[in-house]
Amino acid sequence: MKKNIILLLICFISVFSSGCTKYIHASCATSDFYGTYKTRDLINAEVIMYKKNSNIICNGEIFLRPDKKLYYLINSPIDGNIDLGCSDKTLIRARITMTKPRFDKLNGNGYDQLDNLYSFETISGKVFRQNIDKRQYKTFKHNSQSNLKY
Amino acid sequence: MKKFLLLVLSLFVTTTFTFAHNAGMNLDADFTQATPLEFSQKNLEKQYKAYKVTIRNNSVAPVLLSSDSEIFFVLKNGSVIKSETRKQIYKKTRKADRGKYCIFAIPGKIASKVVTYCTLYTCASLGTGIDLAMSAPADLAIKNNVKISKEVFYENPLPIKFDTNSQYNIIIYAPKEFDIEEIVISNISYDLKEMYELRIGAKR
Repeated sequence: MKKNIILLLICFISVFSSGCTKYIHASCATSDFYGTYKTRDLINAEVIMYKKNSNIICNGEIFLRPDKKLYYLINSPIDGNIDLGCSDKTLIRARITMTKPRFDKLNGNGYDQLDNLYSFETISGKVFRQNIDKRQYKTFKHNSQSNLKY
Repeated sequence: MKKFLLLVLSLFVTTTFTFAHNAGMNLDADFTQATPLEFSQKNLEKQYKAYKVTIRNNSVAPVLLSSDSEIFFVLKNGSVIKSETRKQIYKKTRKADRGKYCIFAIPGKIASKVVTYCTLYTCASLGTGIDLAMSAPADLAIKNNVKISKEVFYENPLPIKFDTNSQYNIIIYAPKEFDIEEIVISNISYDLKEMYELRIGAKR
């Protein structure tokens, strides 16, 4: 009986926590970026992304700008900004719209300093895993250095 | 004659180089300290002074910032300090919203649902009241944090590039205990290769 309860608890925790990880994809004309949230608050989130087939890592923040009261109760779209700094000196700034609470679904567009257009969207874990190099993922996951210095 | 030629040549080389360096930084910039009335957030005002920086790019090409760009403050005693990142400023001044949400708002929601369903909607208004009352602390904290983040991140932030013939009004936050004489923005460039620094003095 005890074993069954523990098993059920483990299943519940794994299902509950697996739903927490969300993935982001940013694409521009020449490259694709894949990433995930490092931390998520009610109005801000820390993002880490890597450029596909390269060693370039980008990290930064998303900040939402809700205008109404009781923000976390509202399921209506909320606007925000995403700021990313990359290890190849690129800075990306985009406007995003969050359509599901807790950064579960968002999309938006923005530019870097050289006027390259980037489009952001959330993707499923399956798509993320298909496009990620596992060895690279391990190194970039433990990277805690921020590229945004101001 | 040889010496004279060498002297002329060296002079020509040094002047051209200096001129090119200055030409690369054709930016007009100055700063003034914002008055406390211009601060809308008391939390920020307690710890930081705001400096209103005006930058105008007069050169023919846009000036780009990079992820290596940093802000330094030259103090009146000559020492130099590095600026905190906007995220650090936000983290220092924000209020705990997540804790209040978990401790008050979530139990409030559960209690309101229990009251509403157990009384078969006869006490639905009481349930809503409990929900609203328990959500109020988290709501206030979030509202405050949104105001701080708007001020730090959205109202006049440092752009990612300075376009030609355009003026930028930026607000930079420095710790309150220091008197700033000069603001330095490092690692700005035309092409992300040759880097310059922008020194901004106080407006006279």
